[in-house]
Amino acid sequence: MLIKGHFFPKQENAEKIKLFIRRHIITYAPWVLFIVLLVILPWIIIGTLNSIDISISTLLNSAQINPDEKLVNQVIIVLLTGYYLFISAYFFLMWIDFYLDIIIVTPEHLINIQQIGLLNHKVSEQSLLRVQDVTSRVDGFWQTFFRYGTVVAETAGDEPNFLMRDVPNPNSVANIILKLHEELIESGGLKEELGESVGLNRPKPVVRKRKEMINKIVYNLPPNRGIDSQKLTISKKTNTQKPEDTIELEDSKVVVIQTPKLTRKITKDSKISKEKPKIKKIETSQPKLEIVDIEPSWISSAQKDRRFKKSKEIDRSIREGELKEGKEIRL
Amino acid sequence: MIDLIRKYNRMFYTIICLIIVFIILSIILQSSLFLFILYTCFIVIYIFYSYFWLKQINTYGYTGDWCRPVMWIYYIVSIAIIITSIIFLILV
Repeated sequence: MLIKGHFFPKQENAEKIKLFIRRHIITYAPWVLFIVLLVILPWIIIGTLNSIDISISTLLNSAQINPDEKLVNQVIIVLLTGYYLFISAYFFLMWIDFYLDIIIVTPEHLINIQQIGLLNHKVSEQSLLRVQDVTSRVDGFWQTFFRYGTVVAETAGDEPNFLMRDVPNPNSVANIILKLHEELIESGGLKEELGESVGLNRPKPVVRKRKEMINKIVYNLPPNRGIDSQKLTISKKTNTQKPEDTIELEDSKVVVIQTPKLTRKITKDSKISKEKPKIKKIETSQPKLEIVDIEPSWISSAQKDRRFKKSKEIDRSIREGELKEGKEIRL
Repeated sequence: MIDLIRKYNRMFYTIICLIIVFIILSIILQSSLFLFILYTCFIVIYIFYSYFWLKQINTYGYTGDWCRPVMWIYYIVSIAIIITSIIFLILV
């Protein structure tokens, strides 16, 4: 049931209607012509029978039935009444089908209202955010002549496309829908909804954060990335953007090895013994440690393989005591 | 029309058959009773149809549009058909 002032059941109060579209009136014309033909058809038949001097009574008499003329006339009147009532019902059924088939475009929604027969009423609503592409199509002579056609709004996911048949000025309608779609995306309040609904920006924050973190670690290293680093700036994982969160490790020697998957625990007071500058000997004084996961997600598989081999080589070197202070490691 | 008949073919053919049976009965029995029943059936069905038609228009029709003039046309056409038929039946 429609609320007064509302054009579709779920219309919000502030939701203005941008387009209110019915099928082109010319699509109703064939039905009107058909109905006119049905109206005059009985008179054509009666006129034809009279012109060849055959009456209904004659026909009935020839069928060995002998009704009086009054009854025959009554039969004709009753039949004609039923016939015209049927035509009237059919005409207005077609009209209601035409009149209540509506497409409504609001700044946020596409609404397709369909009247199917007399008693079936269907309202489908689609968010404009889900529209991916809008196509307009004008086919054939009549559509070109009367400027109407089909508009298809393709939607994201498994939801069915929005098909609008016999729409007047389909190109303008498609343009307006696209424009409204773009306006809706550009409006700030709905960006998050779009991200959630379409799934565009879900993985981005994690990846960006990780990239920023790794870049910071890598680029704050001295140019030779060596184990002779006297200063190393490591940002906290949680607040990578703020400069005050960076930690300076004074007088300590830290080896940062970038491997496909390597986790190191480093704190402000992390120290590596000068005598034994092995990674295994990282000393931590605080129980709460910052975990820095150095795993660049954008590197190619070949690079990953190479780095993995290199890390194995470094591990072997550490095990065998070959890796000593001052030795440069290139990854 | 063909679509409509195809959609409701069973009901449609049943109604046609009933109409034919009533007419044949009235002719054979030389009685207007069956014609009167048939006529009443037409009117009753049409009134039911009109009720639902108007209900749909009142429920889903849009004010300020051209549904009101069409409703008036509907009233006029329906009443014209019924009154004309009654007049003709009285006259014959």
